[in-house]
Amino acid sequence: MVSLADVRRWDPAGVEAAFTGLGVARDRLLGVDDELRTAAPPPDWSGTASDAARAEHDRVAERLRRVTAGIAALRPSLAAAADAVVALSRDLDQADHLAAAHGFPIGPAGIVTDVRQTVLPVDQIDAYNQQRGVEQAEVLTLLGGVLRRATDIDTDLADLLARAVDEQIDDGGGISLLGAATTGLGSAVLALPAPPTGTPAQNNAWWDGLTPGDQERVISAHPEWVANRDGIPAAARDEANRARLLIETARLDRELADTTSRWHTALDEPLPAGMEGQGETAGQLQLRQDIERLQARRDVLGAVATTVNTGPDRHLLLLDVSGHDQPRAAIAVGDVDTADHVAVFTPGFTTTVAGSLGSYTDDLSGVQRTSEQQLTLAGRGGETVAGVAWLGYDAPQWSTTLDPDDSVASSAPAQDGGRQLAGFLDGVGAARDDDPHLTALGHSYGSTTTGYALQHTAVDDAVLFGSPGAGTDDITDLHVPDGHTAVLEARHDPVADVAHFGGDPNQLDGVANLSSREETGPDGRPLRESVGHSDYLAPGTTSQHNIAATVAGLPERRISGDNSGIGDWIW
Amino acid sequence: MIIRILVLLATLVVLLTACSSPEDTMDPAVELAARPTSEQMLTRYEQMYRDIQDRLDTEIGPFEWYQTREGGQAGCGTAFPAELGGRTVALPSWGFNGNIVDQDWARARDIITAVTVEYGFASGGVQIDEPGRHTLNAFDTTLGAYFTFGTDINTSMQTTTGCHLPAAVSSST
Repeated sequence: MVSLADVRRWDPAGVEAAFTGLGVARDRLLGVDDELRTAAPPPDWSGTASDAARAEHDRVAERLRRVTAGIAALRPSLAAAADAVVALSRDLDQADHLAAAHGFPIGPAGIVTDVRQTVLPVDQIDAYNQQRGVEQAEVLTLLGGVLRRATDIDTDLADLLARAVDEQIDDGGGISLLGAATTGLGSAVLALPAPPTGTPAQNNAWWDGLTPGDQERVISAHPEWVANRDGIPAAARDEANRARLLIETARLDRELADTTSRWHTALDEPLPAGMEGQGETAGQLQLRQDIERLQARRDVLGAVATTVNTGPDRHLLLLDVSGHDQPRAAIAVGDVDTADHVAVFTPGFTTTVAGSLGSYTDDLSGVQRTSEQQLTLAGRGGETVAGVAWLGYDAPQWSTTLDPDDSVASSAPAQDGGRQLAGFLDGVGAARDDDPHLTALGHSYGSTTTGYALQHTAVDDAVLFGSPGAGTDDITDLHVPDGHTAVLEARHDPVADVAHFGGDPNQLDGVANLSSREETGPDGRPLRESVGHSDYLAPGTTSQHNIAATVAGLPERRISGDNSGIGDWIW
Repeated sequence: MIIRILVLLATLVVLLTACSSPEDTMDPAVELAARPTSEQMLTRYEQMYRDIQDRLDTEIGPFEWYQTREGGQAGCGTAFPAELGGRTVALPSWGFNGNIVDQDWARARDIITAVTVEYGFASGGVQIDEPGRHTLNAFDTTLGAYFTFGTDINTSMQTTTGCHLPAAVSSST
């Protein structure tokens, strides 16, 4: 069993030196390939001496092939091990800093001790202990990951070395050393094949081609390979993204603490003559802005962690806080890998990961429950539903309103987002062996993004609500079966009548217009209506009922309605 | 096109107005802390389930009740800031195979309504009353709880609490 002390002693430079040495040995061996072949006894030489010479040549050749195969297997394995040791060292460093920040020093034997002394009122002790437990668990999770990966690397490499020393690496049974080297490569361990830059189906084929052990190693050593890659199963994406969330949080905490410390030091710098007591130096300003930028990213990670840890059935399928104008994330409710019905919801204008993805995920929890309730009532209680709140694009913000390329009045963000969303939708199916009932839900500008996505990929059902347009005025542009594109338009929702992106969706030929309105029950009681732009997913409303019925694949249970509004008479 | 752009701009203004938070009349943290805990509400609603089952069994049934779906939990949406630690909890759904026949629905609806009113709910939302298919929804608008009961091919009821603090968090605030 590898210990933390072992890992701290591991030196990638030593592994890299062995890699280089094996390269020299491999080249020398391959250099004698022709010589070995020409040294074979000539076929027309016969007799006792020739038999002995041939046997000895065969013995030497076989040995050289075995050694060559062993070196061929070891060399890439050592290269991968060197990379893995660097990654382990980095992650152990992050764990050390997180532990120090939380007041849990890590002992040489890997024992994490709580050294924080705190005096609290009695009624706060339980909550304090609970919080300390969470923090300790974060540290232990990171350490556990490091030890698990270290043990895997050590075990695999030791096994391969033993087989190479015993000349047990398969050489393919050929006659050339080059052939032995090629065959030997197949026995390499740790050398994980990087994923292709391909379609979700190609990504999934790469994933399926890995052994379960390699899949686990990819998640541990290269979570960035799979975390946001469409076509990878949701469970793997969730595991990889949770690991990245922890590591990135620890890294940001460290960077924030460091930058804040430097800012405090910089505050001692004197201001230029004549500016004493007012303003700040360029250095102070830069550091303060850096702190604000880092804190904003930290807030995003905090919001993601809060949302994804709210319930045990939540999964983090996308996390990217620094690669785009806006942070991106997607959180699933339910099991996307196995659910019979999967809904992917795209929100719109002003949506941010930190500000609103959490509440939209809560809304999807409500849709999931309503859909499953409807399935139970329909006698299909065994069927399950999962929903994804997807914010994988730069949704327009107030701050971009005057930017012609990124404004809510521009279709560019929706078109770009549509391509991203199409990949995600494709990936849901590509990651599974079966074909779930897939529904795309789009609200507001997110419905326009959804409309563009559906011009690239197919779903079983689509619901556009509060939509300023689907990006087309021809429903056949949307890859949705006839009669399976539905529209909801609440009263007093001006956005739903803007018709800015391809006309008002409620007027598309063949669209299913569903009710959001107040209905009167048979006993005369008023029913709940969705009013305005932001109430479509509220539990118990006609609109949420209709959305849930669509997601559940129960179109006969939907309530139709007239979605004509004032805008329908203007255009 | 000009009209559309004008409407779009007007829409932005409407949205800006709509998205501006009204002045809060009560500190959300104080309001949440003043509410019963999640655990207290679960106990209360579990009793409501039993009351509904008992009366339906006695006056219309009996029925063979079983848990039709597991429960779960979520955040509080936009009702309270996430950092306060509030939760909405979906109780497990309970129901039975088969339906409440049409001629019994009015009586069943009255029973369910009477019981849920005792627990702070008032009927609202989608109400479906068609031959062979009936759904009743009810809300506690003060706490934000939601109850639904439906009978169709099968029968099931489900309750989601409003936003409450878990007891462990509540005791520290």
